[in-house]
Amino acid sequence: MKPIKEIPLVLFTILSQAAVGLTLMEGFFIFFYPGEARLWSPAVPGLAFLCLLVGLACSLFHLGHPSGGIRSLANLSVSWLSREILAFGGYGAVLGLDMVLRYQGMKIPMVLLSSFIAGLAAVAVSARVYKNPGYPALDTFWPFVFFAGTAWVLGLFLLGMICPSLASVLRPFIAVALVFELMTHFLAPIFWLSGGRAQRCTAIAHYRSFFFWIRGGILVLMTGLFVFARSDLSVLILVLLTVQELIGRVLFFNYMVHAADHIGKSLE
Amino acid sequence: MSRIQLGFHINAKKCIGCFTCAMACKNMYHQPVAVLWRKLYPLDESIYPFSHRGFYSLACNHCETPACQAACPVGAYTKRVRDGVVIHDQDKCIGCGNCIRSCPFGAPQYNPVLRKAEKCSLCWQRLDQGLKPACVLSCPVEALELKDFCKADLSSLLAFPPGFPVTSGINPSVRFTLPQSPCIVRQEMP
Repeated sequence: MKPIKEIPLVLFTILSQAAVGLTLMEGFFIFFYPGEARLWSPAVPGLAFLCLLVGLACSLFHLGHPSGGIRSLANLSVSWLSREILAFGGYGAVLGLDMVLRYQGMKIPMVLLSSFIAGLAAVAVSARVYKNPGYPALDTFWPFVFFAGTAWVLGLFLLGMICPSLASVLRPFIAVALVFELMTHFLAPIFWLSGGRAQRCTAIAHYRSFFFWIRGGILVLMTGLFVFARSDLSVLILVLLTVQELIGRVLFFNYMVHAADHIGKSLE
Repeated sequence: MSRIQLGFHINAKKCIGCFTCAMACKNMYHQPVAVLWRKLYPLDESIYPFSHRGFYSLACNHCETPACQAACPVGAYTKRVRDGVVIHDQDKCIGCGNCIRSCPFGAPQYNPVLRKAEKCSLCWQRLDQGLKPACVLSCPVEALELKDFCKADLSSLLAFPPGFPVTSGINPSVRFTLPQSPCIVRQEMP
């Protein structure tokens, strides 16, 4: 097993996507289940804000010079990384406003809608950062699929933990989200097998990885629990879910093969 | 002023794999251990199936639309208008590694001592004095050549030879001459 790198980015992406997922799922259920009073709980933007704040703090530690992070908005005209910082900054600002208003007893749908849109944009921009020619396996739609899946699953689970009265409503949605995660986990390497050398090597690196099979096993177990055993939401399941998301992100940051790794070799 | 785009012509037909170019670069800039701005890539048997070996000597390709420049959040990369050289300003770099991830040719490298990225500068300080880059100057067989891609005749050279990542939209300023297949000579027995 090779040493795990980019742990700050693993934590940043998971936590920021959990925050966005919580906002998106709450917005979705407020729209479709307007009578559910607990959905407007200030704990929802509160937890999302906390996740985002911790995630952003973690992201600083992947920099060689964290104090220079303040300058990362300097290249907004071309750099998706600059845009990502701006997008999460904007999302955090609207989310913070939503949290303060709710703790003061105000429910303003426009603020929630703004955080919904800003969060969605932040995840899309974040995925675009990793779509670059250096990693042919990621120079596809897969970063967005992975990030959206994480936001979807973690958002539903965290919402279920904050609003237990919604558990029965959430269960089928969680089952569908877990099936989506399971499918993307196993389909991505199959997709890469049909690509160029770097993509094929990425698929093989995944198949040879202990992490890939552990995550697959956890996802199969959880999908089975939710689809067939109709399991309830519990802290243990949330821990299992978080572990598989962390493993998935470790694979994302550590088991992708760089295009330059195969210079001088047949790329077909 | 007419446009200039400097780039390397890698003549793998002449290259003997002596590593002098990589060492000349290292001697010039004194990078820490494991950081090499210029690297020599031996060609795999699947590309060059002969008993003697072929090489690509590669550094930054000073692309027309550099992926590193597009990835950098602090604007540490600039492309000089006068000659198309892509320069990395280490004072601006915050060591995020996004350029390292983005470049398909592996040109930007992480300097663990400075905790910043760095890459081949095409010896722009030497160019400004009318001198050749250290790698070009040092090559004993003239396998590395600096060309103005806007004026030189590149029609007989390859942009994406076997074993070199094919990219779209970046347009690396590098061209190749493939290594020659060895001719088999049969000697008559006396």
